[in-house]
Amino acid sequence: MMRATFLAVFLLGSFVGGEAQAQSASTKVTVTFNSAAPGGVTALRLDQACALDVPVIWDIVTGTATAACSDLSVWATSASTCEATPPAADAGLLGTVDGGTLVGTTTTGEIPFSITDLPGIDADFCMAKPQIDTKVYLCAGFALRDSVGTCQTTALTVNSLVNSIRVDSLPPNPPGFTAGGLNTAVTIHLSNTPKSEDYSKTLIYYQVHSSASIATDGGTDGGTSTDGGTATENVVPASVEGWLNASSQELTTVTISGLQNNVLYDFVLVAVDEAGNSSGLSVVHQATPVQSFGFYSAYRNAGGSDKGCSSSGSELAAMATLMLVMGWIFGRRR
Amino acid sequence: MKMRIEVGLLFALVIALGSRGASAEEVMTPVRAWDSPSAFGNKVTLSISGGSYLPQIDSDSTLHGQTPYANTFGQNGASPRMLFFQLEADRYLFRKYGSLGIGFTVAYGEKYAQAQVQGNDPAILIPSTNTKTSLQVIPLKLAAVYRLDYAALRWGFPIVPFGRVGVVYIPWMAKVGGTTEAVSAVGVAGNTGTGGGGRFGLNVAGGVSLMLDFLDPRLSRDFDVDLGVKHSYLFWEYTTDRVRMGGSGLNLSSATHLFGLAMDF
Repeated sequence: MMRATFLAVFLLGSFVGGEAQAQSASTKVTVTFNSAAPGGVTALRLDQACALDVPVIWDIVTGTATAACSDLSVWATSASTCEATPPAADAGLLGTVDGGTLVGTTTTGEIPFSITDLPGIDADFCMAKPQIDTKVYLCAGFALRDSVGTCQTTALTVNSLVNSIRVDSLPPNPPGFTAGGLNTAVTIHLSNTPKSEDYSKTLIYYQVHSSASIATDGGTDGGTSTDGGTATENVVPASVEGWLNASSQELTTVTISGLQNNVLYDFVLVAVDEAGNSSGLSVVHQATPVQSFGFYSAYRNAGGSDKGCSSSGSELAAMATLMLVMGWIFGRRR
Repeated sequence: MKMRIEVGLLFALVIALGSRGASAEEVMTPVRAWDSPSAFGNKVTLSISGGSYLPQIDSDSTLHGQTPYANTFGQNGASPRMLFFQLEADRYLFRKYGSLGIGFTVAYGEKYAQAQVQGNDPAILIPSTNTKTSLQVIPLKLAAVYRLDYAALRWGFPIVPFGRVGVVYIPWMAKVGGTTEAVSAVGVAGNTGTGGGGRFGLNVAGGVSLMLDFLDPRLSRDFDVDLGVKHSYLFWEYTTDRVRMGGSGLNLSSATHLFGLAMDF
């Protein structure tokens, strides 16, 4: 089993707000993972979790590191609060740092740990590749000396649940949607947000209606027909990718423009979660862009004489001159 | 000697009473906004107003009685009138029996309706279920402004008639599906065009303002001292545009009632 490594940053001091303190008003320990901001969640796909090769770093930035009188322990927990004492090695303990090295005010080090060290992750996780979606919080702590120099061994100074790791091998369900024709465009309306908790984005694939399946290669073939499609297949507009974010309930409707009127198009959607897991293909829906006639068409069709952009240069020049006069008048000192 | 002291005390008492009387008179005198030293010092009036706007597009003789505007924007009994908002800034240059100045106005009006698409019979257009068409206008006006505000500023009479004569330029945009509509082959051959342009014309307006200072003169004076707002008004305005200058074209002439709020600075 490949040994996964993780970045764990230990912050000793008071520069991160909202974190718990214990025993010493000037000493606390916080843990972040993979440089995530405090409170952040790092979502990992199964292959990422099993193949990560990131140096593990702990860092005491400020504070009274010399007050430590025990080893520094780092562990993960699925509980709602960090335990007062670290768990056993097979129950979430990720590693320890010799307390004797916690000297000075700036100390860093590394702790490697495996994905299988996390609680709820079996030892054969990366071999069995089960579909799970679990989140664990990072904790760290060590004992401090009290005001008279006695080491307090009954409890550790622990960090709060400021950062978490989400191991997610569960793909979202394909999105449901409807497609409607517009003038040289089609509007896609998402009708459900599967697995909405970590739903990240939706990829849209389309092609001119064909008996061939839509190839979902993300448009990397540049719209060529090398895989049996037409010249417009697999085009994923950059502005569309990521257009739906369930956490902020952003757009659920998007318009794909630049299509041909009176041509039938096939559309399929793929949902992607925050860990990067992709759903299967959605059901194929079809839509036909149609010519739309607005007011101006009605006006011209009725014999209206204005061909648009009819302002003569002299009119615009006159208006610009008047604007300048107004600017001069309003700009005069009272 | 005693007599002198008594006369002196009496004189002092009279002076003191006189002084108290003067102070009491100052306190009891009603504060009127037009008593403000700056009551006649207003140089600029800013106003915001709104109303409905109905361009006289369908009255264009080139349409021979057809009504494309009403047909498009008056579908299913809907009012074809646009929502219309206007911002105006007037700068006064002369003051005698009123205030004469120059004003600049920016307005905006829009109207949306369902676009039309070809039905099963291509010759018959039916309302689209998901595409809209719109007409937007942005009238820009430059005008001479006169306000008969002498009575209001001199005696606090709260009614201020005003009028405006000037030129107007109206950029317009016709869109379908959110983009400028281009006509390439509709109806009569050669009827091409782009749904956007501008019309130049004349603007005449008149109205009446109600100076609000009389409602609470002290508050009005504070408004002046603290924020520099010398007077505030509610007003009604009737404004008419004639944009048939320069020959035929989209007839955006209109006659509109506006209601708004104005402030002198």
